[in-house]
Amino acid sequence: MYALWNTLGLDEPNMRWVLFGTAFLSAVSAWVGTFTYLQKKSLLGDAIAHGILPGVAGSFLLSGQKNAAYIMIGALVWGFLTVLAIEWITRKSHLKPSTAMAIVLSAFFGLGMMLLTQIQNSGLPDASGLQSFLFGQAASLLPSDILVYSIFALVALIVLLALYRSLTFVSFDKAGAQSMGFSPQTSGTVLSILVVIATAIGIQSIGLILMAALLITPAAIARMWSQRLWTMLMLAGGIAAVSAISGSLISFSGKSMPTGPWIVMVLFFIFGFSVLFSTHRGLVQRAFQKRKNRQIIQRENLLKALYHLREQKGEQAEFTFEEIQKKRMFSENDLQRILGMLKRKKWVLQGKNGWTLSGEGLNEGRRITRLHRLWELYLSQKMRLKEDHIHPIAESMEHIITEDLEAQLLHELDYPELDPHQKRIPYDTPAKS
Amino acid sequence: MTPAIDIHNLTASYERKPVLWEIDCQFPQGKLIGIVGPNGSGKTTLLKNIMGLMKPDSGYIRIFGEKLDKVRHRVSYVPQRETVDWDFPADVMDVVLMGRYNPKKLFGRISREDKDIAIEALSRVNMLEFANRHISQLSGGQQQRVFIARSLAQKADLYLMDEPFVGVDAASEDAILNLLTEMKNNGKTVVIVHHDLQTAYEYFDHIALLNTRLVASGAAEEVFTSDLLQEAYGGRLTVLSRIGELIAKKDFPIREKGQEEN
Ligand SMILES: Nc1ncnc2c1ncn2[C@@H]1O[C@H](COP(=O)(O)OP(=O)(O)OP(=O)(O)O)[C@@H](O)[C@H]1O
Ligand SMILES: [Mg+2]
Repeated sequence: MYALWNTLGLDEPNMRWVLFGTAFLSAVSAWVGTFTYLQKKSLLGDAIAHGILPGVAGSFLLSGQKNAAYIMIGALVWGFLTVLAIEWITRKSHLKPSTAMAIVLSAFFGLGMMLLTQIQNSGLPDASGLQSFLFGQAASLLPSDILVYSIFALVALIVLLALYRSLTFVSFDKAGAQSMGFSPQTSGTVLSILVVIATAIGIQSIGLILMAALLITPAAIARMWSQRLWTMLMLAGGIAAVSAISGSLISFSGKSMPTGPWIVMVLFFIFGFSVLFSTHRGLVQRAFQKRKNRQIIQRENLLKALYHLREQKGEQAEFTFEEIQKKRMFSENDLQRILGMLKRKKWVLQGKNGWTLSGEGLNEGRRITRLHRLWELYLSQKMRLKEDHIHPIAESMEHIITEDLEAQLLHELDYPELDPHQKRIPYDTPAKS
Repeated sequence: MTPAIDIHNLTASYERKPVLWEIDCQFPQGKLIGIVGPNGSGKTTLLKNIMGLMKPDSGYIRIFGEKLDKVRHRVSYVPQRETVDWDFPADVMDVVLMGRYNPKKLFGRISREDKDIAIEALSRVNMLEFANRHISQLSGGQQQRVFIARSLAQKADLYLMDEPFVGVDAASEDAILNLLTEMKNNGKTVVIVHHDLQTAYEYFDHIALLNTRLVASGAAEEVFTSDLLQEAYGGRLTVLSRIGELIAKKDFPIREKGQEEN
């Protein structure tokens, strides 16, 4: 363990600085990103991230050195230019904001790449490191860089806290917020500025191209696990920090591996995991629920079949596998499995000549049969459906009707004796006569 | 008494196409007032103009005799339910508490008193038991009641609600109506946008019949004459709507500059 610690360079205080610094920067980006996600402006982060490249390259050209403070200034200036250009195009033409974003994004990024090539051909001493702006190189960060970025991040965080309610309200209900004196324009502008900062502070750790992932993915993941804004923010921040740390660690271990792709991969891994397992509409949970429902349905169908057989053949009879199959089409495997399951639950008993219901199984079989027949009666009496239409509907409803609903049905139908097919509706205690 | 709302020669348009022409009317205080008209007649647009959510082409509005900004804290607005994102990560309580947010306060905090007010508002609309439920898990009628609770939490004197009865079952509609009547009896002014003629007459003391222009405004029994209803709900005024399209196409000014002061 300690050896690993050493190989990663974590015994150096510098490295720890970098690591926790990146975690903090990433969390702030994710918090800002959560609000763009809620305002359905996810694309804005991507546009701004690409749009600031000319600023980054330009600051290098002018100053001749790779300095975080200059980089931030250049990035902020071009970030605002990007926002203004998008707004101007949207206002003056009839284009949708997303179209305007795509146009500005590609034009500015193209310009940035031209400047970058210019710099690389210029032979300036620091020029080789400039690629790291595109994909991030956390290992090349100095504590002094981290300090500069963190100051901006802190400012963004304070603004976010100050306008927390305003941003929330406007995201949920723009007209309502405006009617109370909140200004959607102001919070929109402030949010754009925050996105510019949130993007710029990640230039060296994640890089411009993949920065949008850090703004949006943590928010999207957090939304899958949480139904309230506060918990969503906590989660998004945590996820961003964890993926920044692990992404950086992985990239430190390889020779001059860019950081951004690793952070994004970690994020994507968490995202995939959440799609499968989240408590809020996760695929696995849903599949599980479906499977459980299917089992309940099969189980109840079998109990009902046994109950029907018993109605026909008398209380003492035991039923063979074939008799049950003739009563209701189960595949051989299914029937075997369900019988096994019910036997373990002690709802059916296996006698010498076949299968029979236990006391508990009998109650359950009677309940299902009753629900089926009650529902048929309800459909034909209250909804005036024809007799030949009601059976299939009742087949599925019998598994869904709850105790409450049953009580209400009984009440409305006044404890009936016979269903529309003149079959007796069975009660646990004899029906009201 | 100064009218609750005083509208002077209001003309409003979207992308230069006028949808309200020269509206001029007054709504009295302490009454239940209905703004009634067919779909697309500009009811929502009128409310938006009253609430300063869009800029009119001409005309002006006074609320309790003042400009809106001076009396904003006395006015509460409930937008049409479909205009907001009900999948937003918030529970019922969060939404009602928004009625207590203060735009002038940075780092705003929710006080104990705010919470008590929100709880009271929720119980008045019979939604207290749902306080911690996520808003996407509510029925349409329940969402509407949450919105009304948020509005109550604002403790205003004038309430403007856009179609609060849409998607609400009969029982909830009765409950909401009782609440509105109770508010009126406490001296509040309640303005409701409504498009159902059947119930409008029963519900409201004062009715404004709208169809792009103001057809009539006055006590319910004066406004509900077959002539006026025919005028509001019968055929559209084709000339008026064609002029509107022309203005939009040719970029004409709706009002010439320097003609009107507000
Ligand atoms: N944002 C918009 N941009 C352009 N036109 C609009 C916009 N909103 C409304 N309109 C048009 O303005 C007219 C009036 O709309 P408004 O929403 O005020 O009607 P309404 O009386 O509230 O109708 P409804 O009963 O359907 O709610 C309609 O013809 C509508 O098409
Ligand atoms: Mg409307």
